[in-house]
Amino acid sequence: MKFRNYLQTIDGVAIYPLIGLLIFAAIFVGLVWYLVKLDKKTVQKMSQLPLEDGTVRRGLSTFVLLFVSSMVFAQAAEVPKAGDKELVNYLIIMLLVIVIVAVLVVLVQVLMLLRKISAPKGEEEVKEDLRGESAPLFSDRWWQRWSGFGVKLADEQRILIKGHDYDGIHELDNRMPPWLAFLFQGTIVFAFIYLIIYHLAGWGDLPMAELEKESQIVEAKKTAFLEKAAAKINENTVVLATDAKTIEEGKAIFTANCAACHAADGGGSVGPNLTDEYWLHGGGIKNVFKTIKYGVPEKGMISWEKQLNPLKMQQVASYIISIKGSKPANPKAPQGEVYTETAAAPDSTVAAK
Amino acid sequence: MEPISKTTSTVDMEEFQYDNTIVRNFAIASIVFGIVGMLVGVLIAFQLAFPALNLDIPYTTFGRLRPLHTNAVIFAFVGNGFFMGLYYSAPRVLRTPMYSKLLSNINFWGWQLIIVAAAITLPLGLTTGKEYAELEWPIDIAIAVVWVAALLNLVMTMLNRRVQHIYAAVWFYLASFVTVAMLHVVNSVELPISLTKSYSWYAGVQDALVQWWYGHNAVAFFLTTPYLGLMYYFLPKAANRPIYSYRLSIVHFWSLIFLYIWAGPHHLLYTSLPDWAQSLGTVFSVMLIAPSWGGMINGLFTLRGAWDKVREDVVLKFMVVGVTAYGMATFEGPMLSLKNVNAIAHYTDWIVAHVHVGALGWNGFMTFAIMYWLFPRLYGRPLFSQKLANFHFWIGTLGIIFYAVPMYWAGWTQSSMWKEFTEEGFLKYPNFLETVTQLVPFYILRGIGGTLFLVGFLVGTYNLAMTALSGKLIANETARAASLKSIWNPPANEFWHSRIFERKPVFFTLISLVAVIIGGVIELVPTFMVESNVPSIESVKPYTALELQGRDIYVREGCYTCHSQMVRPFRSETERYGEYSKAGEFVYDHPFQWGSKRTGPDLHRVGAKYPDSWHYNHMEDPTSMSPGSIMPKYPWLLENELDLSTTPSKINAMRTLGVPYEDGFEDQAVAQAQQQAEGIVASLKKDGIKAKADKEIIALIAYLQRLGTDIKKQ
Repeated sequence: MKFRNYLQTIDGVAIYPLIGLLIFAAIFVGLVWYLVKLDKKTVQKMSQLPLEDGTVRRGLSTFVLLFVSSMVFAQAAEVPKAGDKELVNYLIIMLLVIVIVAVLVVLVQVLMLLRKISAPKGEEEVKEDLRGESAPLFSDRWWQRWSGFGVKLADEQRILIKGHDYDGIHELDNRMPPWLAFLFQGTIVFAFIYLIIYHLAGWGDLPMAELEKESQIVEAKKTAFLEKAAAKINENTVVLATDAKTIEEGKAIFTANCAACHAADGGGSVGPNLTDEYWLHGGGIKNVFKTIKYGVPEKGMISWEKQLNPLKMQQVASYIISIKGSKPANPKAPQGEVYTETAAAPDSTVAAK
Repeated sequence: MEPISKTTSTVDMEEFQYDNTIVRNFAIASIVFGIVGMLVGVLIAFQLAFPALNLDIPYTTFGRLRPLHTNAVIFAFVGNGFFMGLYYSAPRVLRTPMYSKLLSNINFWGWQLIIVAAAITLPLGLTTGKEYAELEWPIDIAIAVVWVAALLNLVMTMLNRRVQHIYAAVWFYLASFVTVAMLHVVNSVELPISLTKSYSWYAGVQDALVQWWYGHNAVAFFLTTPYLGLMYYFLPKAANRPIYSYRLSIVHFWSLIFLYIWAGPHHLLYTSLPDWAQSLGTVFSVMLIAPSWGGMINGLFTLRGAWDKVREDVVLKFMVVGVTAYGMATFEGPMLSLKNVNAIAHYTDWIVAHVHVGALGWNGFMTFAIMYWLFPRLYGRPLFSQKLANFHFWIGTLGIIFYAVPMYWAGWTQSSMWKEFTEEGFLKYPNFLETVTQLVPFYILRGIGGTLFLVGFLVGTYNLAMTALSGKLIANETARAASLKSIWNPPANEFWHSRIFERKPVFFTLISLVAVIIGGVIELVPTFMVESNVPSIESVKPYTALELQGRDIYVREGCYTCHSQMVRPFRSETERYGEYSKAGEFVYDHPFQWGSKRTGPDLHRVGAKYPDSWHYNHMEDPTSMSPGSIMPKYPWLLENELDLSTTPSKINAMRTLGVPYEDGFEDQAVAQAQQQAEGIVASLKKDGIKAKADKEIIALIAYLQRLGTDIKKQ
């Protein structure tokens, strides 16, 4: 059930099951078409095939792989922690790739099987030279060559390069394995396509454009959220809360964020003493809230509005008001002026953005 | 297989000796410095979990010891290991002794002196502040001299050879020498202001590009190609099998040395490096997969027909794991060069894991394999104990796993935490420290992994020592071969590569140089010549005299080993640190200090974020401001007197390097510095701190408070 929730939160996730469905449909339709087109003679031949050359084993193991990979799909989706959609995204793509590869392998096995079926009965293998130049596609021989083992071990001596003897080291004249050559060529094609996409055609997003897009999406979300309850709290509307829960939450926030500079009991060290009557930027809930929100950059008090939402700032500000008059262990000397609670507007020495 | 030669009656058989003494010397040096380098590695690994291990003295902080570790394991352990294998294999495949015993000895003694110089200077904080190029300019000159001597030795040996063709192993050796020479010389262009201090000629973005053009290719041509050359000799010898594919060795050699050079920018993805350069770094790194795997394939497929031997022979076991680790690392590397993967991995321990899979697996295990193969032959005795060698193999493999897996986990965890936002759009972990304390258990596990690897090495050392002590060094091996002249016989339809390259050492050298120059020229020249690549920002001004001194303290203490100075254009970073970093902000940074790792937070926008007193307390004891911090304490900064007498020469040097200090400023610089220092002291006093203006901490605070603030002045 957790699995379902994560998937739902990914933007545009619906395309993935759609792709899966399309692949399955394509295979299914193609297979049905082939079956419909088969003539009776071939079907009869098929039913008489011995199939003792490992084809069954290979086919079965591929199906097992397919099923296992889909199970892994389900397991792995529970692993990522809440909130990291990008991570889940990547995992899903990775697993989709595995499934696609498994499907392809199955396809290939089926093709090999078909080839075996369609070969005329009793035909001998074409006499090949050592490298099997004329091996049919996806046959065993073809796979051997593709992997780079076209020349059997026993025939190795014939491709030993004459004249190459380096302190007893000899060299064989095997060709580069075709899959490696294919990979190499593939990466070169990738390089050209990548450069075209990002630098010639302008289709790809370079880092600045990525940041733009990311910011727009998130700002929209943030604005939407801020328009709800917590946003109503700002330095003009904030009210002091004195209930135990607020103070408790406020204390936790204070310990995690403020204690380093204002000391754990609020007595001050790098930052001012928060327990006395003297305030540099005005006391009372509205001023304290404002100071926390915008900070005092020129003095080294950082702005907290990006780290604490307005509710949290109200909580910690309320806590600070509540410790006024307490006796800290090592109080810093008073700074600023005595603040008396009036109906005054928030202190203007704290610059608003 | 007999070499095709003329009738034996006209052949001049010559007798000569292979020198094994130099091989043994390099072996011992590699072992000794390998142990030292790995010990330092284990120490710094545990320093991250237990900061008390920094010992509260300047010489043993992580920032100063990390370069000692990297230099020791790369240049001392792997470097000497390379020379050990080179001096054994090259003469034998060229059928001639090394050209000059004098050059061989310059190579040996010069190299060890360089290492000792590093061991002394780095803990003293005498560093350039550029990774894998930390050694100051006098040592840089020594490196160049020794390196060229060794290159000369090799080329002359190639000219003196008694085989018609030059074997693949030697192509790799040659490319290594040529390219490292080029990289070292270009990256080390620096302006000295004293015997122990210099400034990089390059600044900011350009310095970053040159540095990583060098740094990545130090991996390529110091850690990879030399060892590929060694693989081409020692693996077929150990397995007694022919090399799988001569053609593959040609294709992957030339494509590797050509493509590798371009990959440098993959260390700078999502930084202020121009986009086109970043993309080149990505695509060339991806194209590098096949050429690198060509090496792995040629190595592993050579074992075709000998896999049953791998079961019995510990040398082959080490080699199989080593070559496989090489293949894994050279797939992971290109994947990490894709910008979306890099966005997750950069600055995290994932990169550390990647490095050590290659370093411990490929370089470490190949070195061990070669030593286990060589020592019995050098001393004419069987290996002292097969059991101990096998134990080394298994504990070493375990060590690699215990190193890499926790680091992968740590890297992924930290990156995810950095990037996570709450529903409301705030950072879930706005306090950087939270992401660090999570990693301590992984750091402990990694330290254990490294210890296991070291234990294996110590056991191996014992084994090799007992082997040596049970026999006597066969100092010279006599050999006989016909002179080159008498066997010179190019057939009419000779294979093109053999004809054009393998018969011509000097030509080969030149063409390899051309191959490796191209990538550098295309990436470096436009970054220097085309102004739009580093858009200037008017409000960015040079550092004040005091800030410059502070910056040098930052470099001295190796702060860049834990702190980056490059805010990437990701929302998770702009929310955490501030505006992303622009190329134009770094134009006066000689050297650049973008860093590669965030064990601590990025500092590029730390300027004016915290009060001076916060920095004062934090440097004295980081846990006072950040409870749970693993950063070492720096109390000596509060006691050491700042040496302002160097200020005029520093100003002059900077001006020479293009920083627009006014004429005559050097005469007022000291006074300006003192005035700025007094200002900081006054602000500290307000917060109850009694500091003196002539201490190093004041300069460092000045520098830190300046960072990243210039663009706000627009």
